[in-house]
Amino acid sequence: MATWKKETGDDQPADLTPDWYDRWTNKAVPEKDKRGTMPGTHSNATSILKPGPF
Amino acid sequence: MKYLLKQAITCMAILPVYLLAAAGKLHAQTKQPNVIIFIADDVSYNDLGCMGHPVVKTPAIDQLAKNGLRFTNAYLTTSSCSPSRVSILTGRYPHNTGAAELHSAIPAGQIAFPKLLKDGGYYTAQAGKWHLGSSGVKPDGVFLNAFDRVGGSHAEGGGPGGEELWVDYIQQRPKDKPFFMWFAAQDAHRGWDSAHKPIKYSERDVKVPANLVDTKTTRNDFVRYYEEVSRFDHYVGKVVDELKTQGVLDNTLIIIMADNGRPFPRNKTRMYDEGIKTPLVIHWPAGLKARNEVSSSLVSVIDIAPTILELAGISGSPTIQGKSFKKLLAAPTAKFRNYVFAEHNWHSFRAYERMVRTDQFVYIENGLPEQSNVGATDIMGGAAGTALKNHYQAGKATPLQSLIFITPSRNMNCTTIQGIKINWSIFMEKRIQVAAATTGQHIGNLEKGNRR
Repeated sequence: MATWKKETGDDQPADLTPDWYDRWTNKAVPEKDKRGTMPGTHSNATSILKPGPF
Repeated sequence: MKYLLKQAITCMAILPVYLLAAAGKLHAQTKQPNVIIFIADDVSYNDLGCMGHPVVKTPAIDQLAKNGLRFTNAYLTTSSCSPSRVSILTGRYPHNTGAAELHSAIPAGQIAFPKLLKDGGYYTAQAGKWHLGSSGVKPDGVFLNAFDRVGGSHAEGGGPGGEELWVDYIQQRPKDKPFFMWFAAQDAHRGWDSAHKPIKYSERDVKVPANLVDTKTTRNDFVRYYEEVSRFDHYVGKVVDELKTQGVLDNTLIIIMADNGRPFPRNKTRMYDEGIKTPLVIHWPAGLKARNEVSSSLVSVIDIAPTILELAGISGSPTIQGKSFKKLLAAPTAKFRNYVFAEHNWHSFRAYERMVRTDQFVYIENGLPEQSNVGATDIMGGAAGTALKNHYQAGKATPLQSLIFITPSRNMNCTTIQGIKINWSIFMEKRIQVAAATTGQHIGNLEKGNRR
């Protein structure tokens, strides 16, 4: 998995998109509609062609 | 002289045979297959009759499987609608598409393989659920360029499951081109509707999974789900009938699959088999020798794009990370992948999980163990989810039923295929490259029983 993450540019940003709802009540929270940083953004993963282990 | 005459006679006799064979070969090389992908919405791999479900009836798909090939180890790259569809169409992992989260816009530069088919002379069309971009329903975004015709959704009068226009698409297509159709049902996504259910079920028929609570509301929830799976099958059957009528069924490569698992707790969005594994049935009489055969080879849905492109004789894109599994169509038991990988990213709730699976092991990492892992809002707001939540709140839930609510949740989860024993230390040392595992089935966070 480490090889796959490295080769395909996967990562876990500190500011991932937050919960939009309360996990127990399902009601919307103030952070609703806020987007954070998606995995792969820092490594520009959209331009990476390597597939990782096959 | 006698010898030359004999040779001439032999040549004259062979020549027509040779020319016929050459013509046949040429025909085979130039006749590009039509392709239809039927993609169900929120249906687990084992919820079709041909995939072993004891109750759900899917006669049309079962018939396709009987005359084709079904895969028992086909894996999605994520158990979330729009990122899963983008991954399938690009042949790329979700974090490599730039659209890893639900309803996120697809960056320019990502290539949907139907665009390559279109550029290669195919007529391409999409009908039903869009979910390829920031909009759930309304077609938008960069993938519009991949299709000659787009629409037929629930919102546009495409029927309750978005399938009413599928036959019309087959009838209205240009007849002088091979075609590719992306037929995306909205069955069996919540919320349920009562319109046109070809097959009815009873609450008595329901098999309630052990991680849920066996209540009347849970059973009714499953009845509605079963009915929508059967409705998906019904519309697949109508298209097959139309293909037969037009005489094009034999050279139409039909693929049956789903975008993610059933919309119930611990299934959709999650990395267990009922969330991340897809049914996969392939039917193609003209090109597939297999009849009623099963492939247990590991395949990823990012392999579908390169497979179709190769069968169509069209060059793939260097952006595709999957590989063609064409060889499995001729030899279903052949070895293909050693690994499949999958992701769980934001879907209503913050998430970061990763899965790798071999033919023997599944390993899941959870990057956010401080939070519970309840899944999407539509799941927990549904009848089965509500019943489970009430049961847990009342202190009556079993450990298995409690898993999705508990914090901290597991940060690591390693399971085996049922019955296979592993040595944990070897596993940890070599990660998933376990070669000589022998003892100690349940150690550390190993989940008891199986990976579901």
